[in-house]
Order: sequence, then structure tokens, then C-alpha cells
Amino acid sequence: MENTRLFAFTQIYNQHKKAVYHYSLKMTGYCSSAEDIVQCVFLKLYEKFETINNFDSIKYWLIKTARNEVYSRSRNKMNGAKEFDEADISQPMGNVEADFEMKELSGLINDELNLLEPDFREIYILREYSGLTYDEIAGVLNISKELVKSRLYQIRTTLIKNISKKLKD
Amino acid sequence: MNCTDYQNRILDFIDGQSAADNFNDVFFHLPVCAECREFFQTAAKVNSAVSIQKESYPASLDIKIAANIPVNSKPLFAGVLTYRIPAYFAAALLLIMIFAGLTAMKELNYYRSSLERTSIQLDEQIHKTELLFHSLAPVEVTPVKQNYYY
Repeated sequence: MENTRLFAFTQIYNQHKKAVYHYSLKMTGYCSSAEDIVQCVFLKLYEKFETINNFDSIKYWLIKTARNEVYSRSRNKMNGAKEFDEADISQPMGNVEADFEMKELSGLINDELNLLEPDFREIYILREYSGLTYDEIAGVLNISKELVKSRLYQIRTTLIKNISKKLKD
Repeated sequence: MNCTDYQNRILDFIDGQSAADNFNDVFFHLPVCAECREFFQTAAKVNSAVSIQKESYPASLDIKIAANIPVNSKPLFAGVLTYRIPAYFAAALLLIMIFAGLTAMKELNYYRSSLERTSIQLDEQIHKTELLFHSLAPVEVTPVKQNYYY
């Protein structure tokens, strides 16, 4: 029984770990916070494994749980709790790329994402980095699917035009 | 169609929201429009950069999570006190019934054998009495005449 649970958990973990990690990383901006959130989310999943009935929407559940963690941590941070240490701040957002051009482009994308309004940024992260469907994004953010779609067009167009301009310079 | 429409089609195609067939118009438009061509090239670059970013994952996190998974997260008797109660109760009842049945059979056997013993003893007593009765000499019984006064 325990082995079956562990096997199923491992499969879900391997399938969705990157989506949860990149959502957390892009939302918090810090590798260590993202790692803590991923750990917290998957340990919660393991604890509640037998109470979860619908595994088809497990990704939605994971992202929703990660989102709650992100926002509760940001509230704690606003309340004065020390969350990030200096080592965290010195770490870059995203990961080291072998290709310099790709590294530069990743930096530009991160910069542009940081310039976006938080609501807009989250939509882009949920779609691009977590791979949620429009319906799932609408469910997570409690907005309509049409709004998700129109905002995504807006964000992508702005992002691509700004990056294009910066690459030319 | 203007450039905004073409650019929206490019975004749809990159996002996987439209089929390649719907992209034919864009392919004919791209060689003649520098703005859309640049948009397409940057969109493709951003898409591949995001794809590469998405693939990275710290290997140490796998080990950290594996180490923190509780091996026996369930309490020792969890579940015993929930849905298994009727099963345990039935099993206990069955065991009690078997034990009671065996005890009753043992008692019954004891009483039956003691009854048999008593019956044999009784038969022996009857036989002895009969033998004694037959060994006695016949006695002539003479009636005694009694006087009755009225």
C-alpha cells in the first residue's frame, strides 16, 4: 500500500516538478524560496495523497497550492519576517545557460517580466512556465477564460516588441 | 488582414492554439513585411529561451524532497479504527463461537460418558438383585386368618 503510494507520488513528482518550480521561481525571484515552495507543495501532496480523488487535475492542485505558498510567504515578508538572506539575493533569477545569447535573452525576458503588472506577469508565468491551459489559468486566478486570452495576447505582443527593440540596440 | 492579425496568428501558432494550415497566410506575408518577420523571429527566440529555462531543475531538490518524505507517515493503528472495525468484530465473534462450540462439545461428551457409566452400574445392580432373588429358597406363604370384630 505504502509502495503503491510512493510509486504514484514519484510519477506525479517527475511529471510536474518543473512546472511548480518555475512558477515559484518566477513568482518569488529566488531559487531558495522556489525550492522551499516546491518541497512544501510536494510534501503536502504526499500527506494528502489518499484524500485526493481526482488526479486528472493534479497539476491544477499543485499550482494552486504553490500559489497559496507564494502569497503567504510574500505576506510574511510584508509583515517584516525575514525570508531572503544575502545568498539568495546574489543568486540570479532563472538558471545558467550554456549559450551566451540564450543567457542574454533569458535575462531580457526576466527583465521584461519584472516590468509587467503582477496580475499580467502571473498569467504569462502560468501559461509559459507552468503549462496550464486557459481554463486552468482562469480557475487559478478566478477570472474569465476570455480575459486570460486577451491579456496573454497583450503581454506577449508587448514582451516580443520590447525584446526585439532591445536586441536591435 | 493587417500586421496585428498576422502577429496574433504567429502568437497562436507558437502557443499551439492553431494548426499549421492556418499559418500558410503568415508564411506568404513574412517575406514582404519586415516588421512581422522581426516579430516572428523574436517570438521564436523567446519561445525557445523559455523552453530551455523550463527544462532546468536543481537535482539537489530531488534528494531533499526524497529525504523529507515520511516513510511511515500513517500512525500504526490508523485505518484499524475506521473501516476495518466490522471485519475485526466479525472475526472475533467467529473465534468466540468456535471456542464456545468446542467447549460445549467437550462438556457434552463428559456428561454422555458419565451417563453411560451410571447406566452400566445400574444394569449391574439389577442383575445382582435378580441373582439374589433367584438364590433365595422358595417360601410358602400361608395366609393368616384374622378375626374381625364388628
